[in-house]
Amino acid sequence: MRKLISIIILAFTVSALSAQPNNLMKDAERYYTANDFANAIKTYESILKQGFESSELYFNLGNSYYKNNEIAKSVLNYERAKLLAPNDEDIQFNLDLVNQFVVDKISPMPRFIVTKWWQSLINMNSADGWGRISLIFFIIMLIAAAGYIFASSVSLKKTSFIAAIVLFAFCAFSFGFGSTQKTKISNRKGAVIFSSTVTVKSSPDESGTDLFVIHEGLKVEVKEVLSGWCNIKIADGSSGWVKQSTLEKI
Amino acid sequence: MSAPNIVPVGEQFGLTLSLNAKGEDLKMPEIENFDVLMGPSVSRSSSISFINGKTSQSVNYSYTFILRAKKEGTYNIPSASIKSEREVYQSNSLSIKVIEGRQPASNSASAGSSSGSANQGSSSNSDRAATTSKDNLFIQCDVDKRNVFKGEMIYVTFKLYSRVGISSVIDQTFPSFDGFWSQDIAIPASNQGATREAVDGIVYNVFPLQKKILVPQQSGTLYIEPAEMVFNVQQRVASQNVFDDFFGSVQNVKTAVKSNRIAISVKDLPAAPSGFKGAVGDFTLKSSIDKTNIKSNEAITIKVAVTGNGNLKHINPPTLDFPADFEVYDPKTSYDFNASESGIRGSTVFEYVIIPRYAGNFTIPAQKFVYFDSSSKTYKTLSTDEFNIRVEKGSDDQSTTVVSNMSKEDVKYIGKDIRFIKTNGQKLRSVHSSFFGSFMFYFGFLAALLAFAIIVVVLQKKARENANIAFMRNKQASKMARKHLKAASECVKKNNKEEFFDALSRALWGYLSDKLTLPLSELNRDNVRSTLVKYSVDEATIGEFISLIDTCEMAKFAPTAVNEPIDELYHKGENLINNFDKQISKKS
Repeated sequence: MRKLISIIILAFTVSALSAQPNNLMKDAERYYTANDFANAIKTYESILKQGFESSELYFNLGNSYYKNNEIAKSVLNYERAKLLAPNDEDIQFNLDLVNQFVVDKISPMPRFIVTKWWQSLINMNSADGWGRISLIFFIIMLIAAAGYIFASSVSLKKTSFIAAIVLFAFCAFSFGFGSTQKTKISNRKGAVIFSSTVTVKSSPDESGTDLFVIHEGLKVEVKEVLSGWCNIKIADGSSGWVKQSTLEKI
Repeated sequence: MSAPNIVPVGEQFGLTLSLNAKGEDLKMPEIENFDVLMGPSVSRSSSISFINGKTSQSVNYSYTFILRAKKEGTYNIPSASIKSEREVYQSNSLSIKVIEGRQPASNSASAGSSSGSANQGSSSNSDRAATTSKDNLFIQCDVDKRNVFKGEMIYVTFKLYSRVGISSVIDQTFPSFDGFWSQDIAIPASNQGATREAVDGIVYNVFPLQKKILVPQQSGTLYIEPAEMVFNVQQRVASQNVFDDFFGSVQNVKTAVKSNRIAISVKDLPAAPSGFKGAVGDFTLKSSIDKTNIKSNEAITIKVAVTGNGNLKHINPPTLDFPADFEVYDPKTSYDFNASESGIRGSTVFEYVIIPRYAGNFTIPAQKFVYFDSSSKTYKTLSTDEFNIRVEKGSDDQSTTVVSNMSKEDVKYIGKDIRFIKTNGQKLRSVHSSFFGSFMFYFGFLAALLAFAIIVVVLQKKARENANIAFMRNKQASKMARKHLKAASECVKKNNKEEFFDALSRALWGYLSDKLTLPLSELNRDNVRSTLVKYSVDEATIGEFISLIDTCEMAKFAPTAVNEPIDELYHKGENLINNFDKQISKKS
């Protein structure tokens, strides 16, 4: 009997704990609406600390940081939100706006148009979205395959065979896109510069030649990490080494 | 007390004591080694000046002795004393060098004169030749060293040596010192008068013309070109007139003199270490910063002062290593030095103005300042201080500028702001959990595949079973038909007409049902024709089948209406089944 009670209590506390972040979200929203951005930030960060995330949470946190005049942190959180929801228009809008406050104006390397299309196609959905799509395609493909196996007429057999192959291709592509997105999330390459000014060196060493200077809030790509130094690449293709402490991974 | 510093033996010279008040009871010291030829002769001069309505008066008394040296050596004349208004004043003491007098070839020794009156230092009591030889008037250029390093200072003097009276200077040309940087040394007014100097035993009045500090700017052999001067020299003219002789008839003769040319060999400095900025000499370094705690976009001044003796004018500003995105202005250089015989002393101050544009903590590292020590001929290194600057975000930091209004024609945007937070309560999930790649995800695929496999297997099995039944029925169709026919033939023997027709129709229908794998309920007289046509049974057989069925049907309800003998009908049915067997099996 006592065991049963303790189990019930445990179940309640667990449900209470899991309910708490959602309440916190509501609290933070209230803080934000009341222009108390410092408290909104604190609340959102406490949700993150509990181990929960969502694109919405990062988006709201990014907004709070922006309103609190912390551009670099704002960029960082928008980028995190974008990872979880790559096709969200609001995130892109706010990110673009906040990026206007970043000092460095970098014209990105021109990309081949097909590559651009390909990237935007991949970015149309998150990893989970692509996963679901891929699963649905898989099931439809199986139905088509069954149709092929059991169809009595030849034309029906032909049609369902072609449909099955096409659907299989769809399934494979969406699985591939999903895994690309998944890799982006699990193997985060992006980083945001946090120091107000950073001199990029030619080698992972203080004595390296100064190559160029970048500033707070700039998004960079981390290619390699070596004993406290990161090999970074900026959008125009130039790369160099900066101290790991000057940036924050997305 | 004043007297010439150098006199030749046997020459008369004056020793003058001057006093700016009336004095009495002059006590001269014992003057040994000199003959006192005359003296003291007292002269008095007074001057009254009115300056801005103020009257000042000065009186000068001078006591002059005429002395003659007896033998060479350096002698000291101790101080004299004089009483004036009940006070006793001591004069300075003098040291006079007596040299062995040597008379220039055609000249008698000129009488010395006291300092300050050298311009008229002409001999008035001896005959003179009409020529002005090189010995009597020349310009000497002296340098303190002839082997120097590039950038090392050289002290140069031009002096006029004269034993004749010069009435005026007509022209003077000083060299331009090609290859050198030159700095004049001001000759103080008190030093502009003549001094006496003995050259090869001949005493000259010496006038300093020019003193310079030269700094060679290139290596190799450089020349100090001669200085040229043209004078009007007074010369006594031989005359028949007694009065002329007595008063001295003097004529001006134009005389050009030229100094010597001096070669200076300039060596390159030894291989310089990094940080060498051309400083040669002896220096100290001091660096300072005006503030270390500022806000962004405020200016900081860093001063680096090089103080010492050397080519201060030619020091390049040391390169300070400023953080890369500081705004750095060119350093301002200010000089403050005095040139003298010992070199150029003073300081050069470099002022760096920097403006940090961004907040942060920055360090301006210490920078080496290397100079060449010309006395020890080595490079020495000094260092500036290291400065730590703390920059706080200023109010006008660039990153807080407002986004400018971007206006379009149709919709007027008042400002731009981020979009509002999302409040649609998207489900939170724990970090790093995602559907893609999760167990559920792969399980979904697996489950779908499994379901597919099960469905396929079950359907296949069922189909196979169905196929088996059909096959069996097909195979046993004629057997069953014959069985039914046999039962019919039994009825023929018994002449049981009713039972016969019943058995015959059952045999025919049952056969078709088995043969075509169609349930009996789906077969009737109306559709059997089309079904059989599908199985490409010929029309004659179909017609026969239908007429036989019709006969059976009729016999059931009106047995008497059937005229044909039962035997014939039996055979007909047998033939029909055989025909079907042939035609349908052919097809399938």
